[in-house]
Amino acid sequence: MLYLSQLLNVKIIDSREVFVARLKDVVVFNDGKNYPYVVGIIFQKGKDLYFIKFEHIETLSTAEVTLNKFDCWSVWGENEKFLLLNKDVMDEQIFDVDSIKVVRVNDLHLVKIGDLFNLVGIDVSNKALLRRLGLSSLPFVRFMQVKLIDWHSVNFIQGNVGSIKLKTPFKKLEKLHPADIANLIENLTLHQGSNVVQSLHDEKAAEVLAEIEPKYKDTLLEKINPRNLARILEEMPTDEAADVLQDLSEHKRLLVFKRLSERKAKVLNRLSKYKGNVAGGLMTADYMRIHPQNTIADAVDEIRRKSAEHKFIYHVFVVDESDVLKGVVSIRTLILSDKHLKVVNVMSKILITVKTTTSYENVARLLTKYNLLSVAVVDQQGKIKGIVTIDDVMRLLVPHA
Amino acid sequence: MKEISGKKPSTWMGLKLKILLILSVVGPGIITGTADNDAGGITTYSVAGASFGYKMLWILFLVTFILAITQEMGARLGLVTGKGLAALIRENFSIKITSFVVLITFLANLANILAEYAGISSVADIYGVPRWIAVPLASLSIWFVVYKGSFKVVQKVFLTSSFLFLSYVFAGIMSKPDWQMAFNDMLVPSFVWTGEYFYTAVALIGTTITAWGQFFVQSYFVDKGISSEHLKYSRWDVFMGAFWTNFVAFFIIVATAATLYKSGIKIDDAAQAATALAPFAGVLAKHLFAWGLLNASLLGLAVVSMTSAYVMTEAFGWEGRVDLKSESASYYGIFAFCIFSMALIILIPGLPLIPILVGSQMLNTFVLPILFICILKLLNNGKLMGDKKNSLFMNVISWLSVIFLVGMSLLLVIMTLLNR
Repeated sequence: MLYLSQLLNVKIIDSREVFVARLKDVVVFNDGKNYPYVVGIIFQKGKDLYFIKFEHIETLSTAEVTLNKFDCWSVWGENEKFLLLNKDVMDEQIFDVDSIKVVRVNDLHLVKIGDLFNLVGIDVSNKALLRRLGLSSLPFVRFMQVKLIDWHSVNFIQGNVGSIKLKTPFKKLEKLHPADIANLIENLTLHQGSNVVQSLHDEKAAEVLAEIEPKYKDTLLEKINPRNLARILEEMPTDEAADVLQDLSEHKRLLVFKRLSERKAKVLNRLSKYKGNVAGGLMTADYMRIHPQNTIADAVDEIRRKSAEHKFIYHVFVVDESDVLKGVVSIRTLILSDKHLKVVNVMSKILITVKTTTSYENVARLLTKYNLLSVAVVDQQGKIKGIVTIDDVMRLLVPHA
Repeated sequence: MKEISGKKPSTWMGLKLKILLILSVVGPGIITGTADNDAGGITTYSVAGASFGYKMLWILFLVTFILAITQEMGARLGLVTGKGLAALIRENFSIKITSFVVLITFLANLANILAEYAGISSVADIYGVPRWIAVPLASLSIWFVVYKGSFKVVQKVFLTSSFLFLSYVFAGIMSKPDWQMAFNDMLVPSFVWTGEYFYTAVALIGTTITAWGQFFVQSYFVDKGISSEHLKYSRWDVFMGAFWTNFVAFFIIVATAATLYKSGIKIDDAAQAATALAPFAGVLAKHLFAWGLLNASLLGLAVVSMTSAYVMTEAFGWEGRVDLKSESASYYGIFAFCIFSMALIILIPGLPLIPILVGSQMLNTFVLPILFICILKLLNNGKLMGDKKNSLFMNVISWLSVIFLVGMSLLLVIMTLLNR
């Protein structure tokens, strides 16, 4: 068991038993898949850094580093392929994608496997801090636990100042659930957080933004570049996109709006007329609609075609030429019915609707009473304006989940 | 929500946008500047005016520029790197320097918090409110605002508090000072060759430019979430903050100079100043002074405690943010510890407050040089700052300010030690 802090400043002795310098850094090769392994060490003389290859190292221990040759070093230039453990990793902030936390690297844990030294983990414990302060001999330190994070759970934070500009683009973060990524981002500074959001795929970024605490969200949004934000909004359900726009400052809103596609901009402009926690403010324009005279097969096709852009496909809303809501048909009915039948023959004609001004509590009551997943919002003429889905109402009922 | 239009903004719209932008950026500078006028600051200004009349105003004038420079450095570091000062020191210097700076600042802050409570207690004394009611009430309300409020709410409370400092401006005007003499003494240096004069002068600088103030201004700019493109506006914000801070200080000094100094009345703290002011400037002036002190102490209490929590969590990787509770238990833990433990200590009868405050100033003196050297090194780090790094001109000005600051505080330490 070896810690990086124990290697730093250790004497380097060459094969003639001559003192060379003190160790300044350890260089590892990182392919992003396996544990990185040590390829050499670095020392400093004057202003220059020198590199000694691992094959020239006889022993690597906390007492000293001995070499099997002399004059076996070369000037070290910046090298994108390698990580310098002290300079690039030590003391930086990282994501622990296993326990979903933002932590600071207090020490690095190296293990000799075969002939190679591998970087297997990161120590984030307070014990490591005390070790580096030279206070390991304090009596209570013995009872403290080290806290190691496996290297495979480590994800660098994008855009962090320092030299890790993602030479090794780890994609571990993308595999997490959006809600978990959101939690991680909430623990960063805004600067880092906005960098992380912008480094994700637009689709993922949209999902993540939807999960971020409202209080943090408005300041975070201001930090995201308008062009990127517009792209992310394109991927978002319209109701959420409208909320995001509403959270922006007037200045930023205009900038983002200019960059939206015409279609999205039109829908969002319409939705933005309604405010706050009433059905009008909660509703989305992303719902499946079908004409009553179409067949079941048409409806199923429509679902297949549109399912990518509409998250909510469990009900198809039956709407005539003049936008008047005629009925609702569930995906279950569509699957179980004869595909040559017309929609008008299988749809439920009991219309349960709300107005744009209905409060979210009343929407919730309605959804609960009739066991619905969504409810249509209609105007006085019975024309459909949008739908409110249960998850949007839940968010208001249980705000801090 | 207003109708959104995709149309290109007209010139008028452009102007409107610009104003909106400035308004959205203004705040941190005013708040962080004003927070330097805490209970210790108000006391120093009151004593300076009562003991030396207008003769200390030129130092205040000088300090305004130094404050503007140091605050700008902190704001720029925060805006460009998006990180707090403790984190930057940890990442760019050694863990030992980090621990030293952070722990000393933490200790000095605890003493500072005691001073804020002392301010609150003395206002309570003026109005005959028992301390054991006033102190817990103050700590609970500050805890409540910071713990329950979002960043925006906290900022609004702070901004309101910053403008309440106007009470001192009114008190200053009511004391009918000799304006001509005041302005003259502000622009023309004058010395009194006594140890006390020098001591007060250094204290005046020391209460305005502090280690915690430097940490606070940077963290605040990081959390405010202004992008570095708006640096220009933030710079003005900071300068306005420095101006407002010492504008208020000017009126405090003027108020006590025009009344207490003229009549040869000596005071030891700001609350005494309030009481002593009544016969000269009227009862209203007394109330303005007392309420001003209460306001300053409360703001200082919140800001210094928050900074302690920021600095500790950031340096040791127990990160947390102002607006998140569940995730940042250590942040709120440290915040609560600072606020409540010091509230208990101030209630100890016969607490020797003066030695504690002197000790705190000494600690500040040890940290400031290291802190400013780190800040200047960071500001000159091209990898970190890009094109926002220090220019030669800025370097000269900032090094001069730092050398001046460090020299003055070192002299203070020597003088204090010699006095004992």
